[in-house]
Amino acid sequence: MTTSAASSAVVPSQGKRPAFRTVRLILRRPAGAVSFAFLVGLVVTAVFAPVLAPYDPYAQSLSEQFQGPSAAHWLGTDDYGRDVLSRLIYATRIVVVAPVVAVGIAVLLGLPAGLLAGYLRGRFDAVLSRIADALLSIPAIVAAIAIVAVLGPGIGPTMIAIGLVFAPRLYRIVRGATLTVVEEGYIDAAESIGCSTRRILWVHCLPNVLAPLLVQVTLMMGFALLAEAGLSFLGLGVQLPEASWGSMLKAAADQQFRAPYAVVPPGVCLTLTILALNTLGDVVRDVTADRKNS
Amino acid sequence: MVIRLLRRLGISLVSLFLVAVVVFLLMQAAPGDAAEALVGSDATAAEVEAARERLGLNEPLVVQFGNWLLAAVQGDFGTSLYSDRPVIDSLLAAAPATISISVVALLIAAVLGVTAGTVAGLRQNSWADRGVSLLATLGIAMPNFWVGLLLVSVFAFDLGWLPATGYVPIEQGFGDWLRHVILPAFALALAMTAEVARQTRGGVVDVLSRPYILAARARGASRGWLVRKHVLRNSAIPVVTVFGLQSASLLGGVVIIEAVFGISGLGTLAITSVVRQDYPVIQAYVVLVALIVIVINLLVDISYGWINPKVRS
Amino acid sequence: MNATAARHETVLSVDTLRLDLLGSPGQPGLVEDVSFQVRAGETVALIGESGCGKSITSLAVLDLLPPQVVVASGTISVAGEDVTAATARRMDALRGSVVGSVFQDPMSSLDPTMTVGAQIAESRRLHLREPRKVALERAVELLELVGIPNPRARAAAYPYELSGGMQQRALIAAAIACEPRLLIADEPTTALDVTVQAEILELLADLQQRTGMGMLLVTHDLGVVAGIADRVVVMYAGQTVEQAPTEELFANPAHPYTRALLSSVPQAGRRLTALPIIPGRVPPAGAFPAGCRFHDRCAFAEARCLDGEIPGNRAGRQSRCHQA
Repeated sequence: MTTSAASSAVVPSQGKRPAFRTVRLILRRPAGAVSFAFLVGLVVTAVFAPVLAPYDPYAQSLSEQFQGPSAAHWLGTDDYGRDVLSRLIYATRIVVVAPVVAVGIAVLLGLPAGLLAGYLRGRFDAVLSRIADALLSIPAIVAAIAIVAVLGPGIGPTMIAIGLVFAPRLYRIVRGATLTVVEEGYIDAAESIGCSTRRILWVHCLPNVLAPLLVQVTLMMGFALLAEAGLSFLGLGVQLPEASWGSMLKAAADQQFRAPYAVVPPGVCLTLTILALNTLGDVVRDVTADRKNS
Repeated sequence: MVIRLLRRLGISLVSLFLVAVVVFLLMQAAPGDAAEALVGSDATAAEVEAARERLGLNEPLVVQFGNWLLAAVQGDFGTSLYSDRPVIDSLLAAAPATISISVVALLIAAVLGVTAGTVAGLRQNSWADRGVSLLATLGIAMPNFWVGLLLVSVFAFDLGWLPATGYVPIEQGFGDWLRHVILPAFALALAMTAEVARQTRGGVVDVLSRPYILAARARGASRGWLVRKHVLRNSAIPVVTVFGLQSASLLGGVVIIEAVFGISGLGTLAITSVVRQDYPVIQAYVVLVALIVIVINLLVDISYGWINPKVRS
Repeated sequence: MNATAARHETVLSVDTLRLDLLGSPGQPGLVEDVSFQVRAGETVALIGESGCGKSITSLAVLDLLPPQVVVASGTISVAGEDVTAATARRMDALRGSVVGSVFQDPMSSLDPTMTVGAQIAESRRLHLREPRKVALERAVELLELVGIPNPRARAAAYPYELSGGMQQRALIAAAIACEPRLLIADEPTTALDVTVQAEILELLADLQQRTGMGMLLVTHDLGVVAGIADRVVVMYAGQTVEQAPTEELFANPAHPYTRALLSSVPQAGRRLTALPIIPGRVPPAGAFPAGCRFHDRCAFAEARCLDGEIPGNRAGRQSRCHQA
């Protein structure tokens, strides 16, 4: 009797198994499997870039400027005669690392703050939420530009800027999810048996905010990639000749009157990657929502 | 109603104040010294000190912020470190181009998004619905500046129909203005159009399943009447919400679009100011954009009451 | 048209109607072999438990079936016009002018963004092409007619500002705005407080008397039936099982289902004992048993009830049962 009451009051069990099941459910959906495979492919490409790339991405050859696609250069060459395909392949390293670092920073700041605010509520929550709301009225790119203005241009500052900009967004999601958990009652039960605040947050609250967090993180990766590309395009992020899809777009744009369609390959890569992240995010949302309902 | 409005207005002012504080503190962290930047690198220590005194940089931070805020409320955002001009003049000079692109983009997103979403929602699972869905998914995934570049490639360089770059003020002829504004506005509007279409479709589908729609049909309402009198208004709340959220990201996106089309608007001003480390301009720019977003959110909130009479009470 | 002719005119005739659920071929229809009529000046109650097909039948009359349900066979004619053959445009013209309807949940049947008056005026604007102002003026008169005090203020009010009973009165006003020949009331009192229920029924009966329209009252509540219906059509599992004039049905129910239904209603004057309940539950659509659809719950079932169609029309009495 006591046992059953206790087990129903405590957090619904969250071992490793449900996590695996979630992954399986995601992969069972065609859209989920395709997006996941695409993203895994990106990571593999980034790791094995030196093996996969047919040319040195920085090797200039001014005699081979702006060539169209050919057997030697599948996607042609750019303004300095560099092989576009090789540059696209090397750029995946930025694509993989930048969003992960940026979103990682956002999680590092937003997650603890959100958990605490949702759990403690009261004045702490009110003040933090008011500030988060205020910061959210600055468009992401504009806020990132302001931060880069202080930190100076470069890929590092760009990632920090994007992370800082996303932190209040993540805070809001985590706080909301924590609030619902707290209101469901089993936190009271944990308190009544004398769990410490830290234990309640990490053992009881965290597992229950993981699902919305996962959805948000996936979608944010897409936004982060977009923001990185945008800032690099503006010349504030990745600096030439370093290759990122955004910086490649900038180079192509500067020479657009000479080679109007050089803007196509990096843009297609960007679009497909963001599409994959958005689709995966939607699938994760559906799957976790279904599991919660069942 | 009045109390709700006043409360909402109060929250908006607090938000704006907090934004101003955060941006002020951020700019304090910037490297370099405004006084040195102003007098030049070959000035003597005494000259720099005089400039510091004149700019109020020797005062405590709170006083400095108070002075900035007091002046800002009166429209004085200080002096550009680069050009020595009042910041507000630079902002006002750059604003019309940005406003033109943004407003046209908002119009495109509203008209196109609501129309496409309504058609898709009314003909659920039809080809039109699937087409709109697919386009919306793509529209959200495509970076707006890339769309801009593609539009330039096709319509400016390939077909030669429209200018690739630049901006012509509306006073110099509506036609010329429109020819310069239409491509950037379209590129800017795409993502928002897609979001608005999605939200409208969802809203329409939801509303169509409501009993009051059945009741109106039982009264003899034809399809057109139903859409005009019942469906659009009832599905408007989520659409207006997404409109508010998206206009914020549109104001961010316009920065990059200006760069694509070589338009000297507020975004371009901000970017060049970053390169020049012209912090007073950046500070004013961020606060101004936040002000616009906050006003839009306020309008969205007021519109809820107008759409749904129950919110008014 | 003289009064007697109008009295006897059939305003609704449903004949051997069958409704199918799309995508389930070979299944028995959601509704099968349903036939009944409503004449002008008459109130007919269509009664049965939830899921028996009574509401979907009334939606078929309005040609407002959900997209996955279709009329497979049979005819429905409203004031002499075949609904199953009418164009969408023609149906728009019939709904609200020739047939008025009132639904179950008044709160959700009113558009929350439109004033009550505007919704009542709607059908007059649509069918009689009345200008907005004129139609709104008429809406105020209609609100007065359905017994709403201070009708001018109520017409300008939004639905949430009215009580449930007032909302249903307003919806009734909207339904009769164009003086329809037939009024379909689908569970008009189910969502309302008990005290309000009686008032609404009284209002419906009164309006029906005054206008001479025919009324089809869809309900699961025998108490509602007894008060105002002239005739009763009992439905079970998608079929009509019995129909008879109200007094006759109450005094002498023929079908075992009707009998069971009647005995499960508490009655004044009878000693308070445990009410008998019908064992089992209504089979869901698609799982109707062969033979008599009530046989597995019937105390009198015998071998011949288990298969074969049981005709619903017999000499003297309409009851779909071998024994009665």
